[in-house]
Amino acid sequence: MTSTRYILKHILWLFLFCQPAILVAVQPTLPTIAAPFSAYNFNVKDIDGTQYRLSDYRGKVVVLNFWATWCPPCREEMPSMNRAHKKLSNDDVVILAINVGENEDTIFEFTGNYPVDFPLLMDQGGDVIKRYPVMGLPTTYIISPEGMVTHRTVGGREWDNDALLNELRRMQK
Amino acid sequence: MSTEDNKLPDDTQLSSLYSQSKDAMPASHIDKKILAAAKHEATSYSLPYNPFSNNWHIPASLAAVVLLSFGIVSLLENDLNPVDGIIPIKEEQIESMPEQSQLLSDNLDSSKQKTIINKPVMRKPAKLREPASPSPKLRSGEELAKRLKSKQSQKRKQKLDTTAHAIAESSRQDTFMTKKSIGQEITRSKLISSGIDEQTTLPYWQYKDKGISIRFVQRLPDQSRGYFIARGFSADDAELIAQSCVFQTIFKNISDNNTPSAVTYHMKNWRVQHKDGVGKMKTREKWAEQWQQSNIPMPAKLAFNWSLLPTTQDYQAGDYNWGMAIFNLKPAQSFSLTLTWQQYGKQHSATIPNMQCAADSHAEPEAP
Repeated sequence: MTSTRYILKHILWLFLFCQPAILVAVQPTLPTIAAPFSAYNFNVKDIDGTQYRLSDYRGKVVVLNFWATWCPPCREEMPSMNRAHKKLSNDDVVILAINVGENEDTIFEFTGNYPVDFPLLMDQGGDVIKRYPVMGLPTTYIISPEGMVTHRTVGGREWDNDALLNELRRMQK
Repeated sequence: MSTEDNKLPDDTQLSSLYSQSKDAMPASHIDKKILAAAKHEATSYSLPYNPFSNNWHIPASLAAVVLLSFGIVSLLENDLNPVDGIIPIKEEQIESMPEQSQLLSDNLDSSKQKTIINKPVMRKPAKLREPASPSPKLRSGEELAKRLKSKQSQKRKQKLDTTAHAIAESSRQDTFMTKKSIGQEITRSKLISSGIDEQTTLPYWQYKDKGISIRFVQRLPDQSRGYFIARGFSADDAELIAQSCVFQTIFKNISDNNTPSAVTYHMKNWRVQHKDGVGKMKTREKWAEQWQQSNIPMPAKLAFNWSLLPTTQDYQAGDYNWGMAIFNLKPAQSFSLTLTWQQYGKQHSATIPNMQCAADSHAEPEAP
């Protein structure tokens, strides 16, 4: 009995000791872009008609997401993106989602099922998306406070993952 | 010894004997001899000093924890890879792949401001639902319609089961070739699977190997008609797409965190082998040429473009895409698809045999 307790005690201590290593090993990080490039300064409206310019966010980290309502991975990641938006409310990190090719009504209907608090911008003619090297939806770019596109993800992510949020926070000035 | 000799005294007798001898002590010289002999034995068999001899628990615990930690990390990595296993690709890794490096740098050259026209993603087809049993309160017309729907659904399910069985059989008989590098071929098996997709209940074919997973799921012509008409296409244009053998594709870079590696492919290099010869998939560029002759609204064109699997793409570890793949074949036609891609600094190829376009079946009411 004593030896069993002794073994368990050692296992617990060593397991706790290994925890940081385990967490570091599985932490997701954002894929970096080999050659960061200057972000195109778009000027578009959201579904309420409010005008948004990328340059207004200079000095902040911008998470720029390209999406569409008919895109399953886009829909899947939207709730986690909204949770991330709330968790980052005290940070200099903003999330902007640009819808590709759809109108206000379609996007508004979408928000009935997927409530979103961050700006949903419209690129009905596809003018903005063609200025970014997007190959598939969803694609999300991270724009540095200096206006450089430094990271890219293709496909959905769990944006409210703590490791990912911390990485975004570390990118602030 | 007789059986009688082996008999032991009972408890009462033992207690009696024990109480009689409780004060008896061995002679002191005998006692000393016994102690001396015991000491001698103990000394002669003592082992050399080993720090773990009296404390084996530490190495045992260490081994257990290492094993446990490794197991947990492996499990978590497997869970995270499809979506969350995002690891930055080091520049030197990209540089080791000339074509991929070129592609990436081209894409990132903002001064060129290229018109990016490759596209992805598509709607997830609705699940088949089993019809509920008809309510006696239903009016006769509704009841008949429900019964008819139920019969059609059962028939379709039977057909799917038959298809699933057939493709499972064909898959078992196949082995697949993967080119590891030029001039070197390695025969691989069990990399391709097929069956019925859980979400769509339609047949799928999948290639999955270290670092890459690509699944092709049949799309019914009716699904494509509905999807593209809803996006703004005319019935004729939607019909054209629906009759061109559309699959839903899910492409994933599943390289693990320890050996992350980007996947690059060019759909123009893929080959479609069928009974009439060898062809290529119909890419968005080919469709764009065709749409120039039609009066298709811009939102519909955009939706079409972004709904297709990109003609070329690079996926970092953890990246994935959904997109339609159009094979430009007739409904129900069989074919084999040869895929090529780059990963881990090498060119790979694999052939998925016995794929089949979805049939364009229309449900018709049965004679009573």
